[in-house]
Amino acid sequence: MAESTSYCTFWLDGQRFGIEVLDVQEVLRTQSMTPVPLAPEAITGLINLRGQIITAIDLRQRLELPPRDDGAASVNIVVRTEEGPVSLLVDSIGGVLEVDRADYELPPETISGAGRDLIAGVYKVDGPLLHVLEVERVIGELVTATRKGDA
Amino acid sequence: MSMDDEVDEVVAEFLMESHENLDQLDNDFIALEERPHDKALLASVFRTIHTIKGTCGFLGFSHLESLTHAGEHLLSQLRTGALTLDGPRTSALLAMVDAVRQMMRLIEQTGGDGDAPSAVLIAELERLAHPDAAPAAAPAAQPAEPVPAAEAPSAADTADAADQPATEEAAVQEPQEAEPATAATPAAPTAAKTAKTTKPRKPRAKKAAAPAAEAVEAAPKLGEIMIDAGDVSQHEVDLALLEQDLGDDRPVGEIMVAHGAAEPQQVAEALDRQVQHPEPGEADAKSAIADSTIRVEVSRLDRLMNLVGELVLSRNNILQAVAGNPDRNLVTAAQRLDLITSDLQENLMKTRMQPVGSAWSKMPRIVREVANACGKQVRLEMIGEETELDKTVIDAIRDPLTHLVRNAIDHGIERPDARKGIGKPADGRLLLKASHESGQVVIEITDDGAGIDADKVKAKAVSSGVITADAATQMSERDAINLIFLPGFSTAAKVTSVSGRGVGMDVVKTKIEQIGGTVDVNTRHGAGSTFTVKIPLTLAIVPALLVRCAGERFAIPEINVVELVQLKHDAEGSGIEMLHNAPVYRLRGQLLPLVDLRGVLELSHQSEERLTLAVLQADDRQFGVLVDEVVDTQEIVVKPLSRLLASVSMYAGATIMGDGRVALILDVFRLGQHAHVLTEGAGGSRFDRDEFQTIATETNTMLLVAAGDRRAALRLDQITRLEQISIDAIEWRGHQQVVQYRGDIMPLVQLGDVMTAGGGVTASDELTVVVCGHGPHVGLVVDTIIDICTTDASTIVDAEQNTVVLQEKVTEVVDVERVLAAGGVFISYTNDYETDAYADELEGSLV
Repeated sequence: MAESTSYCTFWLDGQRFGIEVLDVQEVLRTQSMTPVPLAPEAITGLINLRGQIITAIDLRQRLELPPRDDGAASVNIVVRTEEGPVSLLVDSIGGVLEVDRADYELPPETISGAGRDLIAGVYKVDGPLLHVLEVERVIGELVTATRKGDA
Repeated sequence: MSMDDEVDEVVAEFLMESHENLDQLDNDFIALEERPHDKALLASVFRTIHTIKGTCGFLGFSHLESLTHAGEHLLSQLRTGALTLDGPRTSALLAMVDAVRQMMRLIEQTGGDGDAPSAVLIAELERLAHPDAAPAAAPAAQPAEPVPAAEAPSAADTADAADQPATEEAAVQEPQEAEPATAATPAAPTAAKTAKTTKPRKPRAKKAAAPAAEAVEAAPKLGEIMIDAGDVSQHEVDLALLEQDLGDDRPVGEIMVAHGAAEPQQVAEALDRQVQHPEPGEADAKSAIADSTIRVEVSRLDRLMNLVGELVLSRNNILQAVAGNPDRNLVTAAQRLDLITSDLQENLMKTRMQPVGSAWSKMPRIVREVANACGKQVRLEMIGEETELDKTVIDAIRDPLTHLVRNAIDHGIERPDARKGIGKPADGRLLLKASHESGQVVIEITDDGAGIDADKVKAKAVSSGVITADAATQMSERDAINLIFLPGFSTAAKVTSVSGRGVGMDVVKTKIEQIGGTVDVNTRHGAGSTFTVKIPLTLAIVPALLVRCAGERFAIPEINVVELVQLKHDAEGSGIEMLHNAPVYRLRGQLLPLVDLRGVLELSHQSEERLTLAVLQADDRQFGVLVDEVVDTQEIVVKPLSRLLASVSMYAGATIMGDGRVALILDVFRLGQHAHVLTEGAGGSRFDRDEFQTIATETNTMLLVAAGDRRAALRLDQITRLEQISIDAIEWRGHQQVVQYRGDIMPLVQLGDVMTAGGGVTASDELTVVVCGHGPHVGLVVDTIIDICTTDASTIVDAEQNTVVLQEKVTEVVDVERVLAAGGVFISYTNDYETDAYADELEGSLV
């Protein structure tokens, strides 16, 4: 029997991405967001998740994709990370997809930009390719991000 | 079973700790019997007993000390391997543990460890500490010895020890019989259950056998139980007790049965109930102290705190939703929810509170060590240890406080010979004092040492390049002394192991400011110094000012907010001026550097009118922050920001508002630093401020008031507040009108009288009062407030007559200083002669 893993899939600028289901805490519709002035650009703001204040990261920003159209809805995927829960902003949510390890492939060398660090690999599934997102790296670089706010 | 009032906190703590340790010991001994050569286990047991011995020696419980000493001796033999742990030795040690526990109960109830040492047990322990002790003889030897009446407590111990299942069965019966103080003849048919139950039945006998009986005093008496049950009357019991006093050695119950006052069945039932009652001596294995507290992880409390925070938010939502709802039931339910939630929040906050004494507990030791190291003699006094603070705050101030104490001894207090030379007692005095003051905790560290020499500080600052010699000469003494809080500063002539390595006061200051506190020093050269640390009660919930800027709300901790100024927006502009390229605002004759929140936070610069100026204070400096508007003041629950935002230092955290949205809390200190209003290191801006002041002296903002038929002006910077005070609130002190104002008694002075203008009789129910002064207030009663206006170089001033022309009218300037100096006792403004005249008149009216 082939080894299989379940991925929570979502869409960003027409591309399909996935995060391992076990890393996902919950999915929320658009939340009221408090921007954090001076924060790194990828940080969209703070949301109130049942009394817990959670930092939201815009994945389009992080992956250097063109910004979402003004007013376009976004979805929060709350993931568990070493830094506690973090919300990732995506365009829309897909379903849970069970994939076969055999379909996995490392990203080609030709991939450039932020994607090179953040995309761990790709599954050749039916339909659009499933990009596997390296969540800890999405977070990690922000933790060590240089201070922008200080003059 | 209430704890004796005289058992102080130290003892209570000792008891609680020891009870826990003793429970562990029970298990350890059992484990040891299986693994008698487990060195680690033996060492741990040894340490526990050793600790108890040490502490009770310190606390003066000599019997407990001698008992534990005997146990410790045996254990040390076992530990070195000279002896092995066998059954009898385990039993003896367990008996010792039980005896210790018994004595602790006695301490808890009476404050003392009884009248007699546990001679039997000690002898047994000592005997067993000899390698040649005959193991077989041990169990029998212990109870077989006759136990004299004076040894009641230890006899009870032994009896108790024997009751432990761990002890050998054989030992169970005998000690009970050997219990002289308590072994009353079991007479009523069912009374013979156990020897124990008879103890409380002889209430009058307890005085003779004091310690043992006292230990069980708290157990209900048989007579009381029967009275409560309605079986007998008080009279019957008294009668029975009287007979006992007259020599009847039967128990009370039996006497009453003999009198026909009670049925044997009733006595039996009462005895049953008495046994069921948790007697301190037997029924509960643990102590009242140990049972009344429970240790909880702080993280668990934090979680609860979070949940309560959410509950508060939900409550707010519900309150908003039901406002104006016609359903009375719903509204009532919401109000109850409101009350309960607030109560819950408050109580949960209290669970996180700890007495500040817990941060001080190590101070006596530190003081002793530091004093020894420095060759000084120091007497430490602590006042207000019970003042409660949030645990996180206590943790945060522990180090700064220790540092201040070290400093006080090392730098402050002189050597004994030096002290004698200047007529001070050889012992230096160090006082730690904590108290609550308007929602804050104030901790003072006072020494009666040499104080801080401002000239030395200046010299040092100049030599280390912190300030220039020129600046030093211009510097006020107070500013000079504050130089000690700069990084890299130390006045100690030489570096000692204790302090003077150049790290110190700046760290203390930073740490205290990090938690929203302040530190201040007051010193008199030659007479000592007082460091005053003011800290918030809790970090979790703080009162905050909510402001709006570019559509977003931000919270500013109220502790940093000095005042709010509404800026005008008219043809003359907002009052914001540029000093070279820095925005400033003239606030009552002082130039206030400004920070534009939009600019600092890089928010959109769309030209919305910025109308409000929040005057903030951090690090002893004031600066103004321009915001769009002030929304509200509110108690906010501070939540930390994720590490993802660690790179942004401008925020002290975030909070959730009533509408569920998140708002950021501004870090005022960082805000000032970022805008270069507050500078790190050198005291540059301090001089800038002096410079500002010289510029500012030319202008004055005046409050224009009317009193009688006159107009008067008061300098705005001398005024604290304007108040409307109800006539009903006026009280009299002697011939003086006073009102209660902000926890103080404020004298009222009719401005009309001060100006000898007459009039000033108000017809309305409210007085308009100008509150002057920042320390003791004085209220000036005026008729009306006319306006606020500014004097400048072009204003016509008659300095001699103290008059100015304001708004084209001659106006008298009221010398507020003089009003204050007189403490509100009437003074005439115009000249001294009239003051005297009035005083005479007053005197006359009193005669």
